[in-house]
Amino acid sequence: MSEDRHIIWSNFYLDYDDWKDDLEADYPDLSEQERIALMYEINGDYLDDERMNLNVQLSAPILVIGDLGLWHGRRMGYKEIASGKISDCLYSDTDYATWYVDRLGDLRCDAIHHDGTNHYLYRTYKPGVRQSQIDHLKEKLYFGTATRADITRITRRLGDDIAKVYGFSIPRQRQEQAAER
Amino acid sequence: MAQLPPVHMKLNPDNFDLLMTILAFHAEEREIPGLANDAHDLMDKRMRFSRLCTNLEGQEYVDFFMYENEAVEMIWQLLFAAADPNMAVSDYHNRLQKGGIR
Repeated sequence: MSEDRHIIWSNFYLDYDDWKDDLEADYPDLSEQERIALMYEINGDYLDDERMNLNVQLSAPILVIGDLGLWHGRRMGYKEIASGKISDCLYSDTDYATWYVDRLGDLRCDAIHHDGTNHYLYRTYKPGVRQSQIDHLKEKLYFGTATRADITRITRRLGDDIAKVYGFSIPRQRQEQAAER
Repeated sequence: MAQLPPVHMKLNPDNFDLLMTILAFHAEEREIPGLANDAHDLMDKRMRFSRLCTNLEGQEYVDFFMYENEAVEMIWQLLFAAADPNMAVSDYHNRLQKGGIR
């Protein structure tokens, strides 16, 4: 785990050297290629485990904000996870994906495909926001004009809910600190 | 600068209604993984960002835009809707020029 992020799951940073000793001990009859394939299979099972760990139900849908790397350039987009379950964030149709909580406590995913890398940010709506505010944010996201301030005004991070599950700490939000003064 | 969806269509209201009805139907489909979510997302954005306009002859039409990946997904949704086991489908793909391995 690096200091600026807590990795939840990745199939991009797999290094066979990290797995080699254990796999050789447990599967001595397999070839190295077979053990490498097994490494990816076992790592895939770990993603199912993380989905179970993060089967956390939020009180609002999750807004997924995408910075998409397409063959002709980058663009912004969004979609909603209506279920509001954090585990439903852990799905990707790309070749490689890494889910992590960044240093600001945001759940993110870097998803690599053949045209480039998509970066996803997962947030949920703050209590009390109006539908008109959500609609306005979605319009800005769809047309690529939303700023970080637009996003944080209407949504909150998921890192606090995730940190409770895994027991790591994340910096407190400025609003909490200001309220305590 | 705002990004503008490059795929632009003008549909008469009946065709727009047909398109939305197909997506609404697929949004309830639970057997095919991903189909319902994609249909729901497509439909939500078409309803949110399309505009009902009137041309100079006084006829209504729906002005809507899509990004390329949305247009790709729309084609998948329409193919799924059109799939009919009783339809005699011709073998067109064997008439294509050969491509490489990608």
